[in-house]
Amino acid sequence: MDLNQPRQRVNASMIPGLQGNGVCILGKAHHADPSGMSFRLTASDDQDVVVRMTEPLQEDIQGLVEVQGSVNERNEVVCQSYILFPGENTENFDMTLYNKAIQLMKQVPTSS
Amino acid sequence: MDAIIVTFCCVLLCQGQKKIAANGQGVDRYRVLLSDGKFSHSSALLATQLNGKVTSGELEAFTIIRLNKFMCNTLPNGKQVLILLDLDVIAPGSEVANRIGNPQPYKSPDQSGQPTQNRAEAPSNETVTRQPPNNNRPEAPKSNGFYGAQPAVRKPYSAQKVSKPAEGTPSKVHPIDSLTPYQNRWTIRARVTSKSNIRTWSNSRGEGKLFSMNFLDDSGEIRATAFKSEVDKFYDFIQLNKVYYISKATLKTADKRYSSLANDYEMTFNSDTQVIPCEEEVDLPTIKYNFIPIGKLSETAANNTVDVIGVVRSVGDITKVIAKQSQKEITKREVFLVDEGQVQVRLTLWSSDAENFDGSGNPVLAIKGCRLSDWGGRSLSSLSQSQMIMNPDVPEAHKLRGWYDDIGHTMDYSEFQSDGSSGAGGGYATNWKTFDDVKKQNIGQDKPEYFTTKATIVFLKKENCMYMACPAEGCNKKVVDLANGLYRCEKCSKEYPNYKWRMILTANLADFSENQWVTFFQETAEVVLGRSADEIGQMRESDEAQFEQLFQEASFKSYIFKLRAKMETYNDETRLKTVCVQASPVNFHEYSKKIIEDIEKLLVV
Repeated sequence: MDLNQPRQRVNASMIPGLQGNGVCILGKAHHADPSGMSFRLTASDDQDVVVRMTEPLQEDIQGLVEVQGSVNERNEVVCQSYILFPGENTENFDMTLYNKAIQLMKQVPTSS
Repeated sequence: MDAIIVTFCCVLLCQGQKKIAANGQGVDRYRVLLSDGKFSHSSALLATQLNGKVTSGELEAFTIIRLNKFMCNTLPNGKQVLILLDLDVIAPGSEVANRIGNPQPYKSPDQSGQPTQNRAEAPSNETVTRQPPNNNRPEAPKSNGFYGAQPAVRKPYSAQKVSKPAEGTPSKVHPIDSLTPYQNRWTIRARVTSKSNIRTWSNSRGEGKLFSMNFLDDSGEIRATAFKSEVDKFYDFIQLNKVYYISKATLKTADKRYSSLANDYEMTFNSDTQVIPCEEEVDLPTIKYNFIPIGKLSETAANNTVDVIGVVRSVGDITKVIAKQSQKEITKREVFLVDEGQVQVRLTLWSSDAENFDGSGNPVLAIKGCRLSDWGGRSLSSLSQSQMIMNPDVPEAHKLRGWYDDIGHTMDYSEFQSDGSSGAGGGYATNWKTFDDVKKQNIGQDKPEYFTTKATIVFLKKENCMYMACPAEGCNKKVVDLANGLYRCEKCSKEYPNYKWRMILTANLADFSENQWVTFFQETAEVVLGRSADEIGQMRESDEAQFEQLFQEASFKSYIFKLRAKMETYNDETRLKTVCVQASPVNFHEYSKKIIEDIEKLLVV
C-alpha cells in the first residue's frame, strides 16, 4: 500500500480502479455490522461501499462520515481513521454538489 | 465673376428697404428685400440711378414692382446679390399695405450646403402653397392679380417676416447657423424643441436658478439658457414646440458638457432679450425624434442618450433616495414602457418629472435624450436635458395607441436580464473580478467601476478607524471637540453636547491572486467587525483588550465583497482607491455552484 501519495477523494464508482491506493471517502453511514467490524457507506454517487474496520467500532455510526483508508482486493475500504460529522452540520450538505466536486477534481489534472 | 444683365419681366413685391449710407464717398445705396410670394431674398441692391424712386417715396415698403433689368453677382462666399437696374412701380406700397403670401428665405444649395428639399419647393406655377397670413387685415385688391403671374422663382436666402412694422416684430430674420458672438444685431425665428425644468443651485458664490431650451430652425439648432430674473420673465411664457422670434441674447462658445447640439455657440438670455411669439404659420421643422424600438435597446451601447417611444404600462410609486454625492434626498419614480416588440423597459424619472408624472390611462410617452444604462440589463433614466412628451402628435404614437388598445394591453412582456457571469440561482451579481484582474485591467481609470469578488480580510488598521461625527440625522460631518463638553458641527453651524461614532476602516483584502487596500465606511465596517460603531467606540475608550480582540477575530474572515474602484490623482500621484459598498458572508452553497460553472467554462476552453 502506497501511503506516500495523498489520499484521493473518491466516490463509490472510483473504488475498483484504486485497489491498493489510499482513498478518502465521504458518505452516509448505515447498517453497521453487529460485530462492529464493518459498516456500509452510501457514497456521493449514491452507491454503496463496504468499510472494514481494523478495531471494533466504539460508537454508533450514523449519518455523514468521512473515512480515510485504502482499498483492498475485494473493493472494500479498509478504514484507518474516520470523522463522524455532528448532525446539525450536515442537514444541508449537498451531496450532488460534492459529487460534482469529486468529478471535477478527477477531470482537472493536478500540477506536479 | 460673371456679370450678366438679365432682362425679362419679373414682378416682385418689395417688402422693405434699408438705406446703406455711403461713408463720405459715393452715394447712398438702398438694400431691398424682395419676395415673389413664395420666397424672399434680402440681398438686392438698388442701382444708384434708381435711388430717386426711394427718396421720392415711389418705392417704399410693400410696393409691387416689375423688375425689367437686373444683374446677379455671386460673392466669393456663395451669397448672391441682385443689382436692380431698371424697374417700374406697378402698385404703390400704400395700397398693397401687407406682405403677400408667406415667403420663406431662399437658400440655394451651394450657399448653405443644406438641401432645401425639407421644404420641398420646386419652381412651379402654383399660386399659393402656404396659407395666407391669418390676420384679419384686408388684402389689397390688386395683389390677387399679381399672384397669378408667378415669375421664375429665385430662391432667397434669409427669411423676412413682417406683419406690421409698428408691432416691433423684426424686419429681418437670420438663420441660427449664422449667429456668432461678434455680431449683435440679429433676430432668429425658431421652434422650441426642448425646454428643461427650472434648476436651482447654491454654491460658494451664491445661488440662483436657470432653465435652458433648444431652438431649431431650418439652418440648425442652438441652445439657450436663461438665468435668475430671465427665468421669471420667460419660463411660463416660452412653450415647447411653439415658434418665437428671439433677439438680443448673448452669444458665447458652447459648453459641450451640457449640450449635445452641433452648434459651436450657445446663447444666454439677458435683460435686453426679446421673445415674441410668431403668429404666422411657418414651416420650421418640428422636433425630430430618432426612436429606437425597445427590443433593440439591448443592441444599443449603454451610457448613451437615446429617444424612445412607448405606452406606459405601469407606474411605480414615488420613492425617496439619498444621492450618494450630495447626500440630498431625491424623489424618483419608475415607469415601465412597452411597444410592439413585447419587451418592457424601465424608465426612471427624477425630482419634478417624478412628482408631476401622471401615467393614468396608459398614455403614449415619447422621451428625447434620455440615458440608456446597462443597469438591470437595459434601463432608461431621464436627464435634465431629456424631453418627455405625453401622446405626441407623431405617427409612431398613433400606431402605438392603436396597437395597445387593440392587443397590447393584454399581452405579457419580457424584461431585460442583467448580464454578468452566471450567478447560479440569480443570487449573485454581475462582474466578478480577482484583485489581479483589477490591477491588470486598469479598472476604475476613467470612471468609478463596480465589481464583486470573494476575498479574505488579512489586515485591519486599528488606528484612525473612527471619528466623532455630528449627532444630527443625515449629517455625518466631523465635529470639533471644543473641550468644554460641547462639540461643534460646521455644516449645521451648531454645537452639540454629544456626538456619534462613525467608522472609516482601512483594511487589506486578499484573494488567491493579489491583495488590495479597501476602505469600509460605517455600514460595511459594522458588518466586518460585527458590532455597531458606537459599541466599538465605547470599547476603544474603555476596554482596550476587548477592542484588540474584536479586530483579531475579524481578521482572516472571508466575504463576498462588492467594491467600487476609481483612480484618483492627488498632487501628481494617481492611486487606485477602493471602497466597499457591500460585504456579505459567503453562502458556500451558492458560491460552490458559481465556481463549478466557472471551472466548467474554463474546461471547455
